[in-house]
Amino acid sequence: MFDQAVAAPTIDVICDLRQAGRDVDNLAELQRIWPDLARLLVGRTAIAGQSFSITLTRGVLLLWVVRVVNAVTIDRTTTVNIIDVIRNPAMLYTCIHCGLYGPFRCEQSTDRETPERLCGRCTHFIKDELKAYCRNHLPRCRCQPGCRETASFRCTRCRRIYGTHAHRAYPHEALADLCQSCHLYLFEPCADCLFGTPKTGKSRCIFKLRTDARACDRPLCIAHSLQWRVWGPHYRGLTLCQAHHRALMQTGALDLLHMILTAPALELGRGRVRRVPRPFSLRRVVNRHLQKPYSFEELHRIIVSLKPEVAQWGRRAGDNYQELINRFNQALTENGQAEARLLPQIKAWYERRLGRRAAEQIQTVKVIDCFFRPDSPPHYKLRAELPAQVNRWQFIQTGGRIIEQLGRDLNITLEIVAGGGQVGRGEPLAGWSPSRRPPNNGTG
Amino acid sequence: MRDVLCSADIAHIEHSSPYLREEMRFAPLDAMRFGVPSTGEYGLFGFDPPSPGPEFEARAIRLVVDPTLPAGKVAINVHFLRETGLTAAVRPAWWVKRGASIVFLTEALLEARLERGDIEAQLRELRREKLLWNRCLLIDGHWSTERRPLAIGEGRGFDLLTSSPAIEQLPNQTILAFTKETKLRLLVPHRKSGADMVIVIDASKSMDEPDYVNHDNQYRSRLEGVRQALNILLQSRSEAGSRVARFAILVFGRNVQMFHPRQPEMVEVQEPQLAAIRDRLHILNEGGLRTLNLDRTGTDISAGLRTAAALLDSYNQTGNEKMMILLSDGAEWTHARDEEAEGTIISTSEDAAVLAGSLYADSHIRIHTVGIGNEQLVRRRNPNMNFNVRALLPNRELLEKISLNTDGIFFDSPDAQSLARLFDELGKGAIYEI
Repeated sequence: MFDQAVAAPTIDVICDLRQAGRDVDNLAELQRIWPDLARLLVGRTAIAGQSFSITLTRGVLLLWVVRVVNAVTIDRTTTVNIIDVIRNPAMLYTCIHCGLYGPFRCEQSTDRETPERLCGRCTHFIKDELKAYCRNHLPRCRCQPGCRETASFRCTRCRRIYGTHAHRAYPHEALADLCQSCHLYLFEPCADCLFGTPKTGKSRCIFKLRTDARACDRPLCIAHSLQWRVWGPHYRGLTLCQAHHRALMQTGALDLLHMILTAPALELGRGRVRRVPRPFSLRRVVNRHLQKPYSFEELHRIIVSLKPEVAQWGRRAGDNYQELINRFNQALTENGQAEARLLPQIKAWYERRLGRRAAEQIQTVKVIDCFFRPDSPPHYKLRAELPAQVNRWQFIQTGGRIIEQLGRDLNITLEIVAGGGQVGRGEPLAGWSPSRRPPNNGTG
Repeated sequence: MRDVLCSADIAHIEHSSPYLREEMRFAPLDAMRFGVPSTGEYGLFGFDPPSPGPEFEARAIRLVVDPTLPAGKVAINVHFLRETGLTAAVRPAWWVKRGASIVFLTEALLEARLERGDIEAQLRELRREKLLWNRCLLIDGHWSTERRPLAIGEGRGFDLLTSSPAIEQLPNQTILAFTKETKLRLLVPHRKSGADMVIVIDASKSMDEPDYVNHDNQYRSRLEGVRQALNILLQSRSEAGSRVARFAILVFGRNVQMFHPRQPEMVEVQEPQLAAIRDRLHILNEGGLRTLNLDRTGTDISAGLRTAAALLDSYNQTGNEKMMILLSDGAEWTHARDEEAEGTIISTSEDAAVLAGSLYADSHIRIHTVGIGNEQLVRRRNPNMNFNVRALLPNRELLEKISLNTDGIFFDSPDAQSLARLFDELGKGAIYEI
């Protein structure tokens, strides 16, 4: 017979100290408290895979039984092997507000040495952004200076942050957010769409008198916007609303010029822009809305008189103004040259047709308009003034036969007026103007 | 110019410039000495590459006379030197000689190499700085068949995609020169930039006129041309792949109707939708259009543009470009004279060209127009022009004006080949004329 050796009763346990209420972080400390704990284990039943708890003064100790050798009930002889210890993690980062784990750091915290740490519950976020803010550094809504609301989203268009009160949904795009003003800019309804669903008012009325602080700015859809064609017949013009369309007829030249000079430049495509209309075009544009039309020289004087005001209209208007003045000066020089060149030609033409005496009656000609055509020289409209006693009919003849022939030969339009601009019953004489208009070769 | 000029003849200095240009500058005296004409000349620039590799490399270069330069040294563009690796540290040896042949490009389609930033800023830079004027490229056997690099410095540059004359037909070692007259276009592929697109199709009665020349040289109706063109566009778009972008097709005559989708909205286009649209193109005919309740008795281009603009304004996604493609044979529209129209006030939609300009200014919508129809053919077939026949004549002027007012491109494409090429390009990306 062999004596079979009986193994000593032993249990292997994992000691869970997480709720024990005491901070045990080294072996010596565990060895120090173990005799007290061991006494409390006597009489307990140990079953592998189960746990039992021991109530301490400040918490609960859990023992997870891993292995049991020859012992079901623990007594004084039972060897207890602690094979592992479960402890609470040492928290390096704790939330400054609640003491919980704080993985986030405040974006605005200026103290980089001891950064403010925040837990998920105490952190404020801007939607879809990886930036955290603490209670002391809550980002403010930028809707207007002094707004106290906490910002919660970033506008997709202007990239500024705003509070919930300024949030507007981006139509048909769930992931984009807009602020109030960007939403208004992009989708403001037309102010003149009174029936049905209003359309988006992308155009804005530019009407503004010199005394006004700002332009009308009324949002208008395509159907309700009007174009004041200052750049030419087939370019977009300056946008007006219905009310200011009517008001334009009562607006003075100075205000008309102000609107044209402060308007955005015309984009001609391929990066080219036109900032101001040509001087003669400008005169026609302005005169169309005035009771008494201005001559070229009068308009030039009016523009020059605007100089003291222009500084207040902004830099762009100032540049436009300077360009306009330069163009007017150039046009005035060219007018003088054209008059000097065309007078002898007109006299020579009349001399051939009517004789020397008639031709000598034309002393001066004056450029009153000019039309520019692509691929052709400028077409001048001139006015010749005759002495009061001279019959102007001979220079015109029935149906404008002669004067029209002159126009065709010299590529001009000539107006003949009697001396002093007065005829017959004393009515102002605009002069005879041929019914035929200048040749149409396209826009100027 | 002497046949060969080399670094032993004259030393070089770096010419600083914000952009890369293949340029060697000569003082007037040196230019006389080496026979460089005052108008400039193109040549081959050969050098021993500093890195191990072939024995020598060659590039195209332009020789320019610079009166501000002191005699005795030539100045070479600093970015060009850097690109070739010939920095001052390596004491480079180089030579210049006459090129085999020089071809001046009349047209070129370029693609920006980098991911797009702000496309408008890029266009402005290209236009303002005239970056490609007098640039030159040497046809190199190592080029890929699709991309020919054209650097502008600082790691930026373009790929030359297609050109006229076609590079494939030119012999190796030919110098390609860009001039002031070269018509440049920039392609921004859909995979780089999103473009929300509305295709506006004129489906009025005049589009039944059979003056469209098919691939097989058969005369087909203009509408058939549109159908084929759309097929190519959708095919190219599906092959090229793209960022999420929204899409709609509408047809107009005297009124406007949605073609795809059926509701007045824009939808995102993915492969299944593209296939569905392609399947639906067959209803672009007399009977099919009747089912859409389209009044074909007139051509109201303004109505088409207005509806398309409303869609783009409502459905455009942030950061995506707004683009329209107008396929039409034009409409009754006459070019007014300045003096009659100046200062007058009209409704924005009264004149399609004014409307287009307004859409570009207010909503940044670019409109590319495609003139469908062959005027010569209509005139030849109908020698006695009466009112009915006159209505069939395509109005190129209006379409051209619309595209010009919106910084778009006008394509006069009466035949299948050019239409196919255009729509192939538009399917791959957004095109800008520079």
